[in-house]
Amino acid sequence: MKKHFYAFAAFVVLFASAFTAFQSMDWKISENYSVKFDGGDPSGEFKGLKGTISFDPNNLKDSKFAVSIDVATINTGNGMKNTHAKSDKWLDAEKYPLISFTSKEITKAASGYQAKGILDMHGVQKEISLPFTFDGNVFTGSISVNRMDYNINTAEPNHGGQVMKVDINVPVSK
Amino acid sequence: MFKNDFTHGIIAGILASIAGIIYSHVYFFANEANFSSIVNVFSIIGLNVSACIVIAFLHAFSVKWLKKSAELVFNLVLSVLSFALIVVPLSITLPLNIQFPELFPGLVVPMMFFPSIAWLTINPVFSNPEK
Repeated sequence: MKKHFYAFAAFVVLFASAFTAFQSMDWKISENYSVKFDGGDPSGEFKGLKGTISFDPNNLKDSKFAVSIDVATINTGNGMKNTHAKSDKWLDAEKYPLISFTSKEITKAASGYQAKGILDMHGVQKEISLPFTFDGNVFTGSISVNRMDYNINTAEPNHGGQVMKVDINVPVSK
Repeated sequence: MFKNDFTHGIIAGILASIAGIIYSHVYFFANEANFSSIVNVFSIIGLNVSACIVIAFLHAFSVKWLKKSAELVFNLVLSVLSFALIVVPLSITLPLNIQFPELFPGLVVPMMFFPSIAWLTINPVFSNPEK
């Protein structure tokens, strides 16, 4: 009887732990993600994406994004432009080292999902809606960001593009 | 006449290429910045030989049109062009998969001078002794 009890207990523990893993909403960001921006000139990408992604299509109420990118990792493909972009005239990487997004609410949308939250960039916090899809363990989204809304080089509104299209592609794993 | 300039250009191109290849290797070992998808043996040889052939044409036309002041004007134009070409590596936008674009001008800017240095180095060998 005792022998059967321990076998049964082991089975229960095994089953419960497997079920816990299955239920986990947390995802790890894979290395091959991309955060690309295109404003004509400049265009490029950011590296240094970090944060927590809790997402379950069947439990959107408890799903949440809290991610950031390192401003110093900006790459436009041109060294001078990179230095320029990180300077206090533009993104001011020294004073504002991170661009972060924290979701407040994730809802189902006509195609995919929509995350409403706060985008914190250059010391300005603004509420944005980020439409995204989640297919094959890959988050894909796209937003347009107007640098003038974030007080980025407002003295030169015509220097480079004002509106940047940001394409986000983030493969994740458990 | 152009045969002399052409030979001068080819040999200068080969010398500039050798200098470029050595410099690119030294630069890679010093900075571990890999730009080999853009600056490699083939592109270095191609660009240096092409540049030196252009210099040969420039020299031939200078001698033909300017006669006495040809060498002075040619050398001046060669220097100005070499300096002006610095703008090219500074303004070029590299593919995003290449890391450390900040280090790219350090590799290519000096190379802008290699064709003219090579040309002027062997100039005494090809200069017309009758002049």
